[in-house]
Amino acid sequence: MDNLSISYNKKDFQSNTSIKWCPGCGDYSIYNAVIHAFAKLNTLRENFLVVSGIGCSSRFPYYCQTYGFHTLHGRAPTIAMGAKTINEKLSVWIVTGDGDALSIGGNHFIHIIRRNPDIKIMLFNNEIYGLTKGQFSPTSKVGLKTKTSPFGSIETPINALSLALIMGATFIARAVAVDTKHLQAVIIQAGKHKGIAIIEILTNCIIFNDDTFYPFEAKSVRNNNIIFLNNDDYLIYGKEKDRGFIFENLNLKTVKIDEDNKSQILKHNSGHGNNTLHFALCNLSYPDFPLPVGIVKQVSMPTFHEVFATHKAMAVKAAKIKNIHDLLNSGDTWIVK
Amino acid sequence: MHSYRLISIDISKLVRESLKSVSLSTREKERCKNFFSLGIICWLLNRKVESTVDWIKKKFFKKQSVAEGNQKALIAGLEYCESNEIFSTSFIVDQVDSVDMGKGVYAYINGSTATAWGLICAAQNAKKTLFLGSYPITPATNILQELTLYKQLDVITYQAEDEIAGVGTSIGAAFAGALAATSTSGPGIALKSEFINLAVMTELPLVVIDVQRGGPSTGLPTKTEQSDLLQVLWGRNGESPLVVLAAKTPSDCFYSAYEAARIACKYMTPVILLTDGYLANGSESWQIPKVEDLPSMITKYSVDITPENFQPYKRFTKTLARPWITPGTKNMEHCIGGLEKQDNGEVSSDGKNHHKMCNLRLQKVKNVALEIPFPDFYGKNNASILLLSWGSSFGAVRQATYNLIKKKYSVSHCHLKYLNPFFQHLDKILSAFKTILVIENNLGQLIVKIRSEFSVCTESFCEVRGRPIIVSDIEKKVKYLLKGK
Repeated sequence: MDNLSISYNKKDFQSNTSIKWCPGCGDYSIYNAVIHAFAKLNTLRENFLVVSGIGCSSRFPYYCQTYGFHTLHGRAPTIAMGAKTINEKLSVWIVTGDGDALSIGGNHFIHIIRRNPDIKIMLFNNEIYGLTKGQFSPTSKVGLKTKTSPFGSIETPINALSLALIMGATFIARAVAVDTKHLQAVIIQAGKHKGIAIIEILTNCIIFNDDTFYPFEAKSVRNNNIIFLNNDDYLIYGKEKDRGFIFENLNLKTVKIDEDNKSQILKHNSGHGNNTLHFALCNLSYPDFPLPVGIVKQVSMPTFHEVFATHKAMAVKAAKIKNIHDLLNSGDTWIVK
Repeated sequence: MHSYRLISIDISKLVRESLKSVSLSTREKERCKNFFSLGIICWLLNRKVESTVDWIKKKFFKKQSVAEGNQKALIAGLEYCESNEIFSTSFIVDQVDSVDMGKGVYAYINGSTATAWGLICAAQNAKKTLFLGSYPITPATNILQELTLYKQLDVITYQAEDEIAGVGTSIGAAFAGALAATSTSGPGIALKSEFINLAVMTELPLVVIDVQRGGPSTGLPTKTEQSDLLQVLWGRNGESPLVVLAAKTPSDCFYSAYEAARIACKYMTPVILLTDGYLANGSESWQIPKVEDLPSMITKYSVDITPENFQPYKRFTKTLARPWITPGTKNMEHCIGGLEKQDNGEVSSDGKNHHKMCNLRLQKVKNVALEIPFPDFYGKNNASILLLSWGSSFGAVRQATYNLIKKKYSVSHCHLKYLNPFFQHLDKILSAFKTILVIENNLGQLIVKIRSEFSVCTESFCEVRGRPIIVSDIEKKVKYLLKGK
């Protein structure tokens, strides 16, 4: 963060390029939330770098009046890592999709997480391949009928948050695209976090997988199907806030809150060093449970580049070879007169 | 074996006997055999052993008995030859300072170290951080390991999760303003190809080092070969021109790496440097250059770029390079990427624009030819045959040329360092010869490019035996071709 004397508004982060997502695409909501959040992050505009892979979501950098790099399918984390390593001042944001991050880019996704660089990943999950016009993705639900799965998808979907947690992510969150206010708040929190941040954003593909997130989007029903995670708050949900979570037989269980179980209702602790609750929350799936949204986990750990800087300082201190002349003459040398 | 004299020596037994008084286990004594053999070689070549004895003492400082064993074995080997007269001849190798060498400070250097140091010098002269993204692969790993030692010289190495990430991080580093390189071998080039194309498209400076090894597939990882030329020239989708250089000796890896970096920055293009296992692991004496005498590194241009006149793909007329504006620069925010762009950086799928951009990228690479020096040429320009080589075959071909000329054969040798583009007047050199013999450690790759660009009469000498080409084999082939002429 740069301690700005000037203040931005969202228009400062809007580029002149006309946006080419389908009308009604969830990505528009995300775009709105992101440029709002960028304006509030107290960071110079020229220090933002938005890096994407390939897919509908990966068009994102063209629409931001920031530095951008539209890279290869699945490879955005590598470009982001290289740029951040050279210029640590950059606020680096990766925009990726379910196919981009979890299928073709799965290897880079897990490795960037375990290195904990100060880079933010926004994973636009629509559970479908949209740009190639409707094939099942690694997050598609079992049974989803698509052009390449006429009898329904056979494969177990990847849970992006559980995967991120296992890889040691220091910030893990989920948001629903249409709830831009909540999404914006999560993005700002991610931006302020020092270390890797993974935000899974559920976004509706109106053409090829319409209404797959209906239970979490529709105002009439979503309060019963979503649990908002707030650090230090009780894990309660429902329109009347009358349902909550307890631990029973090493598992999370939902109960209707009453006088008997009131004392057993769990509190959310996103900063706990132990992953047990975080893992249980990540693994919850609808319709057996409400879907957790918000910040699942946020802990502080040294970043890749912080540690790297200490190693460099050690190398400088211990170095016998201090300049290029020392280097070139560091072998067994002799003089021809 | 008829041209060899076989002398059998029971080294195991002799070592055991000579180390009777040393307190080492039988197995430990066995391990001293190498120094016994070295003793024999020292006798054969009339080398003094003092420096070796010093080295043993230093190396095994903590294990006195091991030091004693190895030292005794070395002397025993030497004395064995001395007293038994098993060899009828020994050889004297000239001391370096009695050979015709320029004045100056010299060092031994191997190709891997030379490559690494060439990159460091280029970065220093460019006033840039050197970034190497790489994944361990034989025989290229030593470059990564060597560069890792110099964090204090503003060198950053990044051991990536795979070959693709190795080049990806380098391209990201280049965008952010580093002198960026990636090192690998043939299979790694295959994996990196899509990303190398992204560097072609986004016109970022990038040095790609391919330490070639025997292929295809995993092939012969520890053996040398020159068989990636066609892969690096043409192994990518679309019209993908880039610059290709090849080093000819271990010390030439230094200058070639420097030159690759210089061209990459000046023309904003990926440059592929071909070396191979033979060069990487081979050593030679090398006169240490003065860094300030090396060619200047150009990373900025005479025209001032301002937010008012900045366009990401607007080119400098002389080189056709686009400006290198890095993230963090105020009011010049822009987005680059793999999609075709217009001058102003906007995505365009217009056919006319694409045709123009493809030709501009091609012309930019062709422009490099204007500054390529006359190739390394030896012999007369009207000889009966021209030997044409590239890369590590240099030494064998040059030696064969010496030998043949001595025997009054009409032979010349031209060695190419720049493989794409070629020296701009290469056609004139080649067309003066009735026969051109292209010599390479593959099944005929440079010859494909020569035939595609020039209508000259070419013959091919090629083999892939997992070792460098041998001088006498070249001589035989040349004599055969010249028979009756």
